[in-house]
Amino acid sequence: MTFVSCPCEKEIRELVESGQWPLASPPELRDHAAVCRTCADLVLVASAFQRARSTTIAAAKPISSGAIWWRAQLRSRQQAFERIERPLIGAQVFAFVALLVPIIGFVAWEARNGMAWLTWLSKVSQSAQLHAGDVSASGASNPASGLIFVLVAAAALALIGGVAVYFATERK
Amino acid sequence: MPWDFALPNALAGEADADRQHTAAYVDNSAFAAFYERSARPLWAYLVRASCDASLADDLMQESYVRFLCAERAPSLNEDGEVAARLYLFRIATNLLHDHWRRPRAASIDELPEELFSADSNTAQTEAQAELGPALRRMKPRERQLLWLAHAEGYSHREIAQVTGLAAASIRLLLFRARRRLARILREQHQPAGGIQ
Repeated sequence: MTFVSCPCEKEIRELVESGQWPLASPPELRDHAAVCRTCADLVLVASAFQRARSTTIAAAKPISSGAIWWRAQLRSRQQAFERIERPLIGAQVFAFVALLVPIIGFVAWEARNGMAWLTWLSKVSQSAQLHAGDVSASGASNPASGLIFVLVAAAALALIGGVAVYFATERK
Repeated sequence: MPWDFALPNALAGEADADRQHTAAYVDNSAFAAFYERSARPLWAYLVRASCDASLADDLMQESYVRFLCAERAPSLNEDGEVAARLYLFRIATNLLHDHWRRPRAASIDELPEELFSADSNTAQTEAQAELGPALRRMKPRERQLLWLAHAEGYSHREIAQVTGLAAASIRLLLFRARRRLARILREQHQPAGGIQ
């Protein structure tokens, strides 16, 4: 298809769009449109679109602007929440790591003492004549008290961790 | 600033003055006036480009919501009216393209309501009878170009802004589309077996 431009195209288009074609248009332009293929196409198509535009616009039943406004507000708020949730997720990860590191450190520290605790346990099993006073006399260095401390600390950490995770994940 | 937007602004911790000038911060009355002027032409564009009234309803609402939420939307003052309208049509065009890229559903529930209803008046029916079948034979992009040029009266540069096509190619694409549509319309007007 060869592209053919016509110098009258712009003028005819303006006349059609303003509703002045054909009655209020110059006769020479009407004569030209009758013989020029490009302008004839333009008149045919542009007139059809102008009629279709007026009937289609008349058929439009847009909802109220308030409903659109409200939807936009809701989405705007949602986007705002999403923006603040991003650093919140980072804070959750940080809180989890901050909780995990002391636990691992504590378990590692207790694992080292666990050797002494195992040694003590083997001594207990080997010595049937061990007095109860011997156990209590060992005081703070007694591995049994360390075991109790480990259990209490683990329970406390689990409780605090659970509460921290709950508050961190609660969004609204 | 309207109170409605104070909450997200405070939550986001944004004190950016530039955002005060975006469409999201225009007052309700300015938006209502803009909506009153632009909603019907936008719906007409969408329904003619998509040939689906229910889809046009959805896309029109989505276009306005995105327009209001867009950070770079032109302001709705008197100087920005034309730019805002072009921006709105650009959003609608992109939504149409997104819709056409998605796989089509063949369910009867998703067919347009107009296929089953008969509540249109005579003038509408005549206009649809004239242009509707012809437009359905055109490519979606051709329908868009023709409507923007001959119904909305946009220049080639404005059509390029709306469609994202190169401004230099609009002229040729429009010429081809117009010639094709004119041929189809002449075929419709001629009686079957009529003399050429």
